Amino acid sequence: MGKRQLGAQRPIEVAIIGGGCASIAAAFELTRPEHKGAYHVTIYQLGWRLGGKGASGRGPAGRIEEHGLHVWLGCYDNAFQLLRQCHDELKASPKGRKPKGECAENRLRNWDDYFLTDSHIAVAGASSQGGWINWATHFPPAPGMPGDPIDKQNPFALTYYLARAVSLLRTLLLGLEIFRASGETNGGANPNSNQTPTEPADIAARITGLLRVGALASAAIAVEGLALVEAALRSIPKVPESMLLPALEAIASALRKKFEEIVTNDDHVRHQWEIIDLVLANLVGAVRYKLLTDPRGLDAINHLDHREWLRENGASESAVNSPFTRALYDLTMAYEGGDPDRPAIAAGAALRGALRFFFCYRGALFWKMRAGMGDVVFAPFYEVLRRRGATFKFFHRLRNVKLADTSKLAPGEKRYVESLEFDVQAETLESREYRPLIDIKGMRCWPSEPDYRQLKNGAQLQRDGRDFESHWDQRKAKAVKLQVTRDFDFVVLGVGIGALPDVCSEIIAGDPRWRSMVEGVKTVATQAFQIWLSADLQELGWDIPPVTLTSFVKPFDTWADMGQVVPAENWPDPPRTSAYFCNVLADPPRPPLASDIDYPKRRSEEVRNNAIQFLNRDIENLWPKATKVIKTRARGSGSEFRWELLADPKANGATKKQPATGALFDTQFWTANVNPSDRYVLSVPGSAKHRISPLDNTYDNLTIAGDWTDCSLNLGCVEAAMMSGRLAAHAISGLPALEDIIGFDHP
Amino acid sequence: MAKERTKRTDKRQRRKNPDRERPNRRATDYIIRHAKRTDDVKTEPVHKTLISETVEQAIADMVQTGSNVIEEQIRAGQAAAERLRLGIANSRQLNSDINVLMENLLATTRDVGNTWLEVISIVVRAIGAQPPSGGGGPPHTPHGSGPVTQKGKSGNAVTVSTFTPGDDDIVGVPPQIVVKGAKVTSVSLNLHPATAAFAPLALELFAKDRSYSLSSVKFSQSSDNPPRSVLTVTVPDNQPAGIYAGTVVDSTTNQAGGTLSVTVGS
Repeated sequence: MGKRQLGAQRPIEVAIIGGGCASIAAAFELTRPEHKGAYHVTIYQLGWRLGGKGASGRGPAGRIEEHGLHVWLGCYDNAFQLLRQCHDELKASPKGRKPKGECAENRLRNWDDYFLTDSHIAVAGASSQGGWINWATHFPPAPGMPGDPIDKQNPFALTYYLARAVSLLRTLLLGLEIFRASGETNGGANPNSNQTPTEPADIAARITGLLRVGALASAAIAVEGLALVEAALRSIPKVPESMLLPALEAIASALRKKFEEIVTNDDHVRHQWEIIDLVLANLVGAVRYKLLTDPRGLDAINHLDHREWLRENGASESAVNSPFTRALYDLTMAYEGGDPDRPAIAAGAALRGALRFFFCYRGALFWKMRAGMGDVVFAPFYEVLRRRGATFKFFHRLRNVKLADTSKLAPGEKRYVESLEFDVQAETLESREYRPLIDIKGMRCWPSEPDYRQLKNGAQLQRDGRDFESHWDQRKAKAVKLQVTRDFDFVVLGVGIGALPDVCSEIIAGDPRWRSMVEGVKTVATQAFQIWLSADLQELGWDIPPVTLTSFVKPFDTWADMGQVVPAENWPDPPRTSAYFCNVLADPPRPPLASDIDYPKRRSEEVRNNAIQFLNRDIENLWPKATKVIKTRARGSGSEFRWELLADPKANGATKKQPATGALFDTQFWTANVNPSDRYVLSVPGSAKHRISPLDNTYDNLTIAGDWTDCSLNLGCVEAAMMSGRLAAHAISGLPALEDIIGFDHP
Repeated sequence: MAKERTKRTDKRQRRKNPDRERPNRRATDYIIRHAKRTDDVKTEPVHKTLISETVEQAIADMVQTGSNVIEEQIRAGQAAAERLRLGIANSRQLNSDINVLMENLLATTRDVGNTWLEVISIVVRAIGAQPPSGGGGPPHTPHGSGPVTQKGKSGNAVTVSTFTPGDDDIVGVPPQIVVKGAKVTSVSLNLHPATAAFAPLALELFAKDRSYSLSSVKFSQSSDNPPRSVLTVTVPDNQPAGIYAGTVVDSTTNQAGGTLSVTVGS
């Protein structure tokens, strides 16, 4: 931005606090050329890097180190729309010049060069013959690309939903492959065995075989139709009992019983029945609760837990506890307090998410990034926003949002934010702008540590072991206070909800809605680890294409193969693949004290131990060749992870290799995401009503942004955060139009 | 990129209230809105692996016809529901409709048109109610008879409501008249609908001096069982005295179906 013309209007100053998806989306919208410079945004970020829960860094060998597993979904239309626009803008260099500090390489790539499409998903479940089995399926490609204009190929149109419903059922019922890990040693029947049945149960299984193709699908449709009619008639108050209802109930009951008898011993058919049962229960529930005409849409069932909803609408216990149901909870970290015995997700939010996940994806189900999320998402946004004139203030930790005293308000004037108080964690040398990005193989990236060379007393800060991102490390260089009108006009509060009690105590004390929001909208800590391996998946014993798998054993129930990121790292001797594992992390019995500066370290140690135990004890169910049998005096015979498989980023030809013990795990990466602002947002039953919308105008110079707000999607995910950021921008500027926020008006 | 800051003396900026804060979650609105955005979304190609030809064809046919069926049924259901809401009940034609509706619902295994359920629930409630045993209640006349008139009083006004069925299948139930306004002395309504589908709408009433008019005249449906049509006349105290008269038309076709006159005293 150049100097202002004489008499030109001063831009409206917007202070955006936090650098996660929601804040970045708000900044991107407010600085669009269409606004003609009406808004100047300043983003205040603690620590050295943008990203919030999506931040990533580069560690030794330029390896990517993430907060957890961040896979984008093909239904993330808002997120992809903004990201694509950002990358397109980055590619277009103004007047042919490369702006100072930007990497020429970045500008040549298209947005989809940064992604790998993946349509395989797998769920792990217990076999009827003991042990684990994995169901994997390939979802067919869908037309278009995520973020395409809706008019082009509208994934929200009813005809599209219907077509996708058929495709989905076909995929799940007939395209699912069941397999066991090869080379397993725990025995158990092979479900594809050709043994001749002699027992009645086995004869029933043969009959099942006849039903598998064609006839089973027809039967499913018949049962589905009957359940629909049955439920419809139940909803009418005065239909005489002597009419159709008893006949329908008898037919439906007989059909359900028949299927349940058949499916008990056959894993393949059992999963098909569980899927049919789940679909039936949702359809019955939709009719029974009149969801099509209820003005609240799916919010009408948010008081129920998803499993409760299924049971209420006739799903069997087998289906309710199936890996498919569990997968929904695991993928959304839906465990209150991180306790695996307290699964909780609101039925409406779950169904809304599932509808968008299965029916609205474009291109592919999953879009995995070929580098860290910080590299693919936040670095380009940072560069484009800088080009547009945004200002970035790193190392600024928000301390307090202060409201103007009510005595200062004019009649009818709403309450407003009078000042913002920050701790400046570190200052740059000569007050220069902090340059946060580094170059790794031609890509602009965020490092895993700050660049101490740019900081005053940087060497001392490094020796002190400062953790700028830790809630418990409160050390600072100085404090600053921003004043309304002088320093800012509007505030976009984009910090995580976990931080609000500390920074918005005044608002929370005086506003019951904010109180119920911070109490009612729950979050959960998460844990994750990443390993780099010198063998590929096939060598490890995983026989099918790379997948994203969930529903596996706690504490790491979700695994994604991330081999596609290795080329973006800078290994002297690249590993064959990379694997990410994640899950919830249980809260301690009592919350840690604010002064407990060592709390993050203790939790990190806990995650380390969890990961080592997981690799020793459980990984063989996924990768049977990744473990070896060991004999110890104490335990007798057992299995242990083959530690020599791990790639050490600091090893080179000259370095003596470490012995292959559990200590090698210390060369890998793990994280305990326990900072209040980093906690994953849940959608527990009854919590949606506590959320506040970014459009809420109670404080007339403040809006909020984040996946914890009432943003319509109301799930913890990138898409919800981006939608929320767009809503925050609308709250300030009137743009984008609400109709242009994709999926905002969704049942 | 830091800009030099000068002292700001601007007025405090305030956010404007947004036009709305809540998403529109009604599924029927959602379906219609997205149906308009894309005119010809084609069914995606069916993959041939793993499914028999007959099942594949059946699924493809179902998808092809499913959306048209559902949308037609939603429209038909909405029209039927609208007729019912205006209190034209107990007609022979409607009984016939019920049987057809039930058969359609049972025959269509993938029918998710919830407006049909609304129609059924309204009608079933209407059928299930016991008819009045005698005395009280609204007057009614056997099919094919002449006009039915009900006289009454509402506030200070004398009310006369006359209903002349133009169709043998319509059982005449004159609308109830409710008057709000102390200066009204009489209201006279005369309806002669041609069909059972008549949905009354009162056009603006004018006095002899056409510069004076009365528009706060509305038809609605009572919460009785069965529901009954109600005409509410609201006249402000400063309404000039005179006789205000006008036409009652069918709200869906604009065909004239009656007259209305309201006398406002001085």
